[in-house]
Amino acid sequence: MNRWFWRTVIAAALVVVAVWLYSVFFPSPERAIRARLAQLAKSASFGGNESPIAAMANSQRVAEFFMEDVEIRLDLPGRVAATLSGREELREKTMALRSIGGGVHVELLDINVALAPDKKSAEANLTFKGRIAGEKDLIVQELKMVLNKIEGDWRIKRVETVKTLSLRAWPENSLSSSGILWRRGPGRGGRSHTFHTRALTLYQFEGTLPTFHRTEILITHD
Amino acid sequence: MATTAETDQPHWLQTALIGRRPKRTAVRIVVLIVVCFVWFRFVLLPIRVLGMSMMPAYKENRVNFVNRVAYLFHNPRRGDVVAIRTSGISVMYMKRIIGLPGETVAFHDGQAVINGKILDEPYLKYNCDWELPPKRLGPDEYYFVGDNRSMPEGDHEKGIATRWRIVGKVLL
Repeated sequence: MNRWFWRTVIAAALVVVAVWLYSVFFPSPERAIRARLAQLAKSASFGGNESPIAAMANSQRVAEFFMEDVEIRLDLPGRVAATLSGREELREKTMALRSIGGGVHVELLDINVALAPDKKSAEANLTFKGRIAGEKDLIVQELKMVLNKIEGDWRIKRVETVKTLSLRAWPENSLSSSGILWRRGPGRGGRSHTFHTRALTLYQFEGTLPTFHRTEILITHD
Repeated sequence: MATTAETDQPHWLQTALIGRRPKRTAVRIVVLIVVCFVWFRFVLLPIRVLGMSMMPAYKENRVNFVNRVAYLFHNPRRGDVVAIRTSGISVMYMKRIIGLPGETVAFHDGQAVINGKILDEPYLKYNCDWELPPKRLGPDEYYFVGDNRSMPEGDHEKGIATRWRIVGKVLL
């Protein structure tokens, strides 16, 4: 009895180790994307004592996480509202930022990944947390990234800000007499949401580049 | 006999560290860890306040808790200070609810106007001159704003979010 107990424990431990090794050597796309974005955050961070040559090399390294035709639309209230098109422009801006000095620490947190059915493109919803050396306030912004798998590597195709708190008003005529409401907006990486009414969530893929728009059909009871 | 009795007694250091019955102590430790994990992850989430958008009620660097079960049996109420999730709960916004589902929210001469009536906000200590046109909230939407409205309107993170973004009510 005792011998069998220990055999079972050892067998279970071996299975756990085997599963862990498999996940390390053959990571799932979601895990690979998270690892890739963690590398990006590490590369995007820099200290105040970075030499010009190191800044140039590191800017190039950051640019390599993105596709050639990347499009970045950022709107950080009170900070920056900018649109960047193409990897070269991104590299130049990154270089300019790094040359200012001071240092920036970047973290990409709570990464939710939604894969397209072909598993060659994905959308990541995440929170950017940045701390500029010498500044008291954090920069926090929810972002949406669209990534494509190119030659085995996940590269960022598009970046845009997600307004956690929006100022968009509910349309006046949306409360129809039939009690059926509809709304369309950016999706949230496969999360299911609880509504006080019955909700049906569908993910729509537009063309070859998934935008993961979510259509919610809410059926009200009142 | 006395010597035998002394050898049966565990050393005082062992008693102090792991108790007289180590197996029972181990079980207690495991139970304690599980209870703490569940309690501080799913019931009372510890947070640290950063930024000044909720001053003076909530000062920077103060430790607080988010009660994640506060809205199990009733919906969020006007005046509640809540934590609002971003893409997760590693970083959350801390704001006060001023608008409830279905209401129309506006700012006129720095005062919040709900359904055409000025909202009484005794917790505000700083005046502002914000002007925002009326926004109608959806059936599942709330309007959030910080207490510190001394900055320009564009620099203050505020607005509408759906119910599922509310993580819980700030405890203290």
